[in-house]
Amino acid sequence: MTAAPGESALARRPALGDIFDPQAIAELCQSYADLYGIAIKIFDAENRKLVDTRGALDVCRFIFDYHGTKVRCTNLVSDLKRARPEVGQGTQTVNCFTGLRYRVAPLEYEGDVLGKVIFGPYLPVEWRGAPADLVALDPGIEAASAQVHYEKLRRVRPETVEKIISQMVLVLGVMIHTGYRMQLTAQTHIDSISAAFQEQNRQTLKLQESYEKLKELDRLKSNFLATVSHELRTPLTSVIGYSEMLLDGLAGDLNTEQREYVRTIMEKGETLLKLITSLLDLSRIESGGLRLQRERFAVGPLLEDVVSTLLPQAQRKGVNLITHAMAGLPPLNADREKVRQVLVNLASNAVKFTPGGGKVELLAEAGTEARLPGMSLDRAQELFEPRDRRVMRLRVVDTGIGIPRHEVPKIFDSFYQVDSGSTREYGGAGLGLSIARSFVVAHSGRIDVETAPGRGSTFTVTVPVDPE
Amino acid sequence: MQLDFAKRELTLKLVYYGPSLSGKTTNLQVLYRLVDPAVRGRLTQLDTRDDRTLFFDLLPVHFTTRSGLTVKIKVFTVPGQVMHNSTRRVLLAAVDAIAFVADSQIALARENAESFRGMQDNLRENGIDPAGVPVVVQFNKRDMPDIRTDEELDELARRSRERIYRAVAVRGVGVLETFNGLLDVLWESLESSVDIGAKFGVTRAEFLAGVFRHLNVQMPTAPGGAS
Repeated sequence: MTAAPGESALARRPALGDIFDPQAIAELCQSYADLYGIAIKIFDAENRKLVDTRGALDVCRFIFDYHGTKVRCTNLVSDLKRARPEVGQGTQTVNCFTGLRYRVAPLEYEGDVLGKVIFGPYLPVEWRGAPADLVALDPGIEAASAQVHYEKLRRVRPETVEKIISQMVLVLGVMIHTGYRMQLTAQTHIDSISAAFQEQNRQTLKLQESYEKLKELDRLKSNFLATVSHELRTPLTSVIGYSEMLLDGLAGDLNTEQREYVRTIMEKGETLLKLITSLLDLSRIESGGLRLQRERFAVGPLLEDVVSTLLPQAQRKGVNLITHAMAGLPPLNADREKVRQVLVNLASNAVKFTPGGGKVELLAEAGTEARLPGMSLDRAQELFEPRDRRVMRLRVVDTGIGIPRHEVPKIFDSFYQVDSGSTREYGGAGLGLSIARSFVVAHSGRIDVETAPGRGSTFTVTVPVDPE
Repeated sequence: MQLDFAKRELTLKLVYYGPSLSGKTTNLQVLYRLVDPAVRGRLTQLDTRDDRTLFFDLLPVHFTTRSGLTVKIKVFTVPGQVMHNSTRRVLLAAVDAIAFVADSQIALARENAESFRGMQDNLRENGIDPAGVPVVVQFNKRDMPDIRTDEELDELARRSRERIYRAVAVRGVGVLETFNGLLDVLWESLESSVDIGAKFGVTRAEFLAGVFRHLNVQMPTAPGGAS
């Protein structure tokens, strides 16, 4: 069976060394030892000593001075240390050859022995003095001096010892349970976080992979667009050029019908060329090759220029085209051709979607706005950069059909058409707004749309007056 | 499952799984009261102030068979709240049998299904084939209005692979039956995976009775089925 990281902690038998805080458990045992005058030692399941309250009795020190008794003492102590109490065995008594006594209690938890507590040595109440055979163990021991040490010993009743042991074992049991619980909690917490982290990493990796794949696809698409557009444009230029020459009569006079046909060829060719140019623009933008050629120019004449470009289209539809630039506008430091293209795009859309009798206005005004709207400024920006920036707002206001509200967020997507049905009423490739937005964004600006379906739309281009 | 041949010790892991608030902890609390204090350990509950399970509850049960096999069963509940999925996954590692505690209310059918699906996913994430883990299903809260009908559950019991139990865990109804059924499917799976009966000289009855040794309740004689 597979073991998850958490399994080890949940399945592992608790280790006393991990559960007890060494300092705290030593203090607790010391306080018991001081209170009852009995030394306490705690060993874990691997017989590692965790607590030793020390304080050897005088009598122990006495017999340790003689070789014969020292050997016996050392043996007894190692036996005590090695003893492994079994589950359910209860407290064991270990008698020392000196008449002193030890009690060994197992520390059990959930059917496992996690360690043992050794109480002692102490002198049971029934002992009056040194055992008679003590002197036999080493010729150097004098019975009278041994007796002096025994007189000083505190005698302990068996029931007192039992009480102390059971209380101590109970306290340690509570500590083991609480400590183990905390240990499990911490371990489970760590394991859960680690599992969640791994899961998240997996997902991130998956996302990263698809992102890389998409980026590559996007690059391929842009390359493809650039190549195809270029290959299309070259022969088309010839088609238009030769049509123009025909119309100019360079190949002789044409009759009315021929002129009409050639003009149609030329017009359609130009439409196609415009589309291809848009595609090229788009692919250039998408491949990050957009370069601005900034110059300082007045906005008023630019608006006039845009209007004159669109006037024939507007007149054909009976749409009134008006321009109004606020007096005293500062010159704009931007790529004039790009800004012009943005306005032509927006205004030509406006004319396209405005029924006859309606009007399209081009307005320009200067103003200020908070730098990086919606973004929090860092301390340095707050301290050292002017809070506001001067901006130019160029608005195209129409009285056209408007845009359904749910379509608004999508209209700047490439190739997106609000009316994308096969029988759609309005032409176009759905590239104009996408390109317009890219140009505006390249100027650190933005385009906002307000629209009321059936009543008209306002597109506002906001660009900083000075480059940022 | 951990099998220590040298020490003749078998450690098993049971998990109570199910959607939020379906009564997993309640099942465990009832069991704790019913299981003989001599064989059960302390009930470890890790919960928040409003009694929602935070990490898990753990009821340890241990007993030694006549043949000298020490059986340690650790019964866990998982936290049901959706956000604790990674904890649930960690707890399902090396699981030996699962009691799925469902809420009988019709309105919570989807939560039950989603939790069950989540359980299967989490098992797979642990490298465990869900089809290989014995599962019993408890339809809890039979005392609530608008619940899956008895007829539906009968029908379900007839055609489903999992044994179906009914319970009102807060009143202790059906808790023991579910646990007994869980131990029973666990026994069957131990028989087929480690041949426990022959290898360790343990009988099914002794295994089941090991837990309920001194239980002062009527033990369901024939575990299984929608009784």
